[in-house]
Amino acid sequence: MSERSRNEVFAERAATRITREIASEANPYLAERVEIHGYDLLGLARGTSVPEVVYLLFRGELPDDAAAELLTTWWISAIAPGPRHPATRAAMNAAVAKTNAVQFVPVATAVLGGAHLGAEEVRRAHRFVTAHRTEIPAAAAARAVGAGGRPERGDWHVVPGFGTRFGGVDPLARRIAALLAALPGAGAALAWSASFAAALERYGLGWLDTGIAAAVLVDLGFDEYAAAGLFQLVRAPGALAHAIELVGAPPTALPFPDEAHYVVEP
Amino acid sequence: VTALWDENRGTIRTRAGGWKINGGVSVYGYQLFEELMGRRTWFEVMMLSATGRMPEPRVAAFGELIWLCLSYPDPRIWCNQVSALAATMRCGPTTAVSAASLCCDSLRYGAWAAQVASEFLAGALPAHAAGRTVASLIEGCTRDAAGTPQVPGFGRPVVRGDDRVPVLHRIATETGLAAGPHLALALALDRELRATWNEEINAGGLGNAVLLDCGFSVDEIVRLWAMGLQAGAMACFTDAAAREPESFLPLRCDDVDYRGVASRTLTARTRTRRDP
Repeated sequence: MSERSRNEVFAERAATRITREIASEANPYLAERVEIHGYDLLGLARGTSVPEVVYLLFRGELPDDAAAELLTTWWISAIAPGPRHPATRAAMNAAVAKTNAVQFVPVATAVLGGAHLGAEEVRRAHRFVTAHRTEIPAAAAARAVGAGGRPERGDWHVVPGFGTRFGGVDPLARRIAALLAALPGAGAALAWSASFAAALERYGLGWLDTGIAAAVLVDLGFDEYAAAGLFQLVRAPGALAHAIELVGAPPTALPFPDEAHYVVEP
Repeated sequence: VTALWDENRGTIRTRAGGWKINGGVSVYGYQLFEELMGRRTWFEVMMLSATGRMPEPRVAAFGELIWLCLSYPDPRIWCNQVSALAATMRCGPTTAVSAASLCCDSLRYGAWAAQVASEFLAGALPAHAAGRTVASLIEGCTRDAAGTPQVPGFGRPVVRGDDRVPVLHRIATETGLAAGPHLALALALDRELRATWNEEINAGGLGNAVLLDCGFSVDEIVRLWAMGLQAGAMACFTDAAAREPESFLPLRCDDVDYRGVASRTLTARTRTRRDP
């Protein structure tokens, strides 16, 4: 045998700055009280909204009204990816195949994690916006387009979070971005991204929902990893609702391409 | 009150084995490097890990055969479609195949279906030995909307019949694994269902019967099935990942029928109130 321990010193206990659990006097495994960043959980439950507590969890402080409004407005705008979105369809597939309903959310969030319109693209877009938001947007757009890379077929994400959807500029993404950019809580990242997206339109490119998520979450101070995970969580309810709608439905409730529409290529 | 948790606090206890630095790796009593690597197949070690018992090579080969017969590279199959959808959104293969595996926690196919089918057969055998007829066992099952008995391990979505069954049965017979009572009862149920309801045993039903006859418990069979659909899911991932993003079975807005309420405005909405 030639394995040798590195003799690293591991922590004796996990540590966190987020959640404090105050043990019950009768049983040290049970918490009598819980505090999140110092706030009593039940007090938060009575006096705050879900987006406000999500902000608190990641940022350590409750948001002001403008930040809470921005987070809530983006959250609702992203909450329903719709029955055509692959993540929703994955959950709907699971439902008609009588998959255990506890799997619907993990299946949908898994598909929401991808590098194409998913959480991984949000993370990359967060990094892009953070790195480039001091540049002149039109120049950044021209440079990005000039760098090339447009595929012969299919969509082009010229940079993470910006590009085409089904060959065109996504009109709903454009409307959502305009709504968010007009809010008092919108900051420099949303403003820069809006100008960048506007500059891209002359090239037939524009906002993607991943870019919107990144810009909003940069402005709200979430890091790229939190942004990626939040994107999955925020979109999950819509996917889950469509799956639940199909619980008890037979497999025939969804299309199953027949042999004429199933082409095995050589 | 808390003695159980105090005993285990800060300490991991396991019967599976593990890794001792400079002392090798043991898997349920077998040394991974000396006794398993190069001497046993991966599937034998997987079965060992799922049961704590080293299977006979022919039993492990039959278990692997069940996994093999699930390896349809067809993205119309629900779990495979999830893998393809994940691929088209540029998720990685781990995500795609894991999501597909989660879908296999399903009553129509996969581990949950294997559990229900194994429980049914394991319960039916003593009942049959005590005198209950095959027809009565079928009569005791729930029925679908058309009145057809839903016998776990029998029938399939999309098609009647299962081309995998004769292959599994032949190989089980050739390897001496087809002589047990669970399989005999399963085949008797198959004959009755063919005669009365035009339904047949499926691959899972036959495979589970053989595994029960090999001495596996229902819980162990569920563990053996847990990841069995990976090859088909991986094939569908591989193909969809090589094509343009979001190009797998794209849907236009009008490809979905909306059957909900008509458009309405927020100011006109009504809220449902609960009585206090």
